[in-house]
Amino acid sequence: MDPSDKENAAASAPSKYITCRQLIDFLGDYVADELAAGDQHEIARHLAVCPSCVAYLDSYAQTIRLEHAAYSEPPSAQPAPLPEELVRRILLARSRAASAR
Amino acid sequence: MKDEPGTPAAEPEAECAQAAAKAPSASGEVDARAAAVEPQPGSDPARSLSEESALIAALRDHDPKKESQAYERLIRTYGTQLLTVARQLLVSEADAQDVLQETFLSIFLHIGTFAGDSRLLTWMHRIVVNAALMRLRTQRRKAEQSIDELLPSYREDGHQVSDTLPWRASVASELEDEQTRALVRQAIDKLPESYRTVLVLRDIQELDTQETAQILGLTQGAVKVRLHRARQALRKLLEPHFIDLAAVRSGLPPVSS
Repeated sequence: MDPSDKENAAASAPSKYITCRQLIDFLGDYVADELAAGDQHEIARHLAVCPSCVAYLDSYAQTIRLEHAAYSEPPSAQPAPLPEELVRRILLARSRAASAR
Repeated sequence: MKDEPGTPAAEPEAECAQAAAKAPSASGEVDARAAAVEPQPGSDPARSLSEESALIAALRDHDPKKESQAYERLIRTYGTQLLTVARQLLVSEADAQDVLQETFLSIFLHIGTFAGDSRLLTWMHRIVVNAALMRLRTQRRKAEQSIDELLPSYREDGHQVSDTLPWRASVASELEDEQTRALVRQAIDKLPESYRTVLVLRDIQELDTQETAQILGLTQGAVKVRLHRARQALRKLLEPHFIDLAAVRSGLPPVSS
C-alpha cells in the first residue's frame, strides 16, 4: 500500500496515512490475518484517527458473524425433515432410473 | 452427469469417468485416511465411520429391497442438509428441490465409484454444489444486478463519500434471534448471483479459497476479491437494520469499538 495524505492526520504526524479507500480495500485480508505486519500497522494507525473506518471495520466483522449465525443450528436442534412429497418424488425418480438399467 | 429418469443408463465406464471428474475421490480404498476428516460442511448426521460404511454397503446391495431401503434412509438422513446447500445457492425453493432430486439420482447412479477417500457427506456435498451451480449457469438469462450500488464510493482524496454509521453494540446479542437470522438469510438471497455463490461457499459452507476457486473456475485472487465485495454488499444491505439510531440522532461521534 502506498501511504498518501490524510487530512485528519495530526499536525506533527511523522509520516503519511493510507486512505480510507485503501484501508477498506484491504479489509478482507486484514480480517483473515493475511496482511504483512507493516500493512497491519498502517491500518492500525489509520483506525486510530478515523472513526468512520472504525465503524466500517466493526460492521464488516459483525456482518461475517451474522452470516455464520444465520445458518448455524443450535446444538440441540434436529434438522427439519424433508417434505414427504419431496422424498416420494426422489424415490420415484430413482426407481424409474433403476428399472431403466 | 445428470441422467433423466427413464433414460437407459450410459455405459458404466463413461458414467464413472464423468462422476470422477466431479467427485473428489479418484482412487484408493476405504481406510483410516477417511477418518482424517476434511472440514465438514455442517455437522455429519452419520454418527460414525462404521455406520457410514454400513450405509454405503447397503446402497450397493444386490438385493433391490435392501438397496431401496438404504436409499430412502440416505435421503431422510442427509436430504435436509443437502437441500439447504442447494437453497443457499439457488434462492428458489422449487429450484433447490429439483436440484436435490438430481443430486440423489446422481448419487444413486455413481455410488459405485465412491472410493472412500472422503466422507460420504463430503462427496455428496460436492455433487449438490456442482448441480446447483450448473443450474445457475443454464438459468442465467437476465442481466445480473450490479454490485456497485452496494459498494462504498470514494472521493478523489480517498475518503468515503459518506462516513460509515456505527452499528448498535447490541447486535452481538441479537445474533441468535431467529428474526435476525431470517433477516440475514434474506439479505444473502438478494446478493447478485456471482457474489452470493462465493459468499455461500466460503463463509457459510466454509470451503477454502483453493477449493472454491476450483469449483467456480476462478483464480484464488478472484475468489478473494469477490468474497470481500460480497461481504461489503451484504454489510450495506444489513446496515439499515443495525445502525445505532440513537447515536445518529443525537449527532454524537461514533463510538470506537
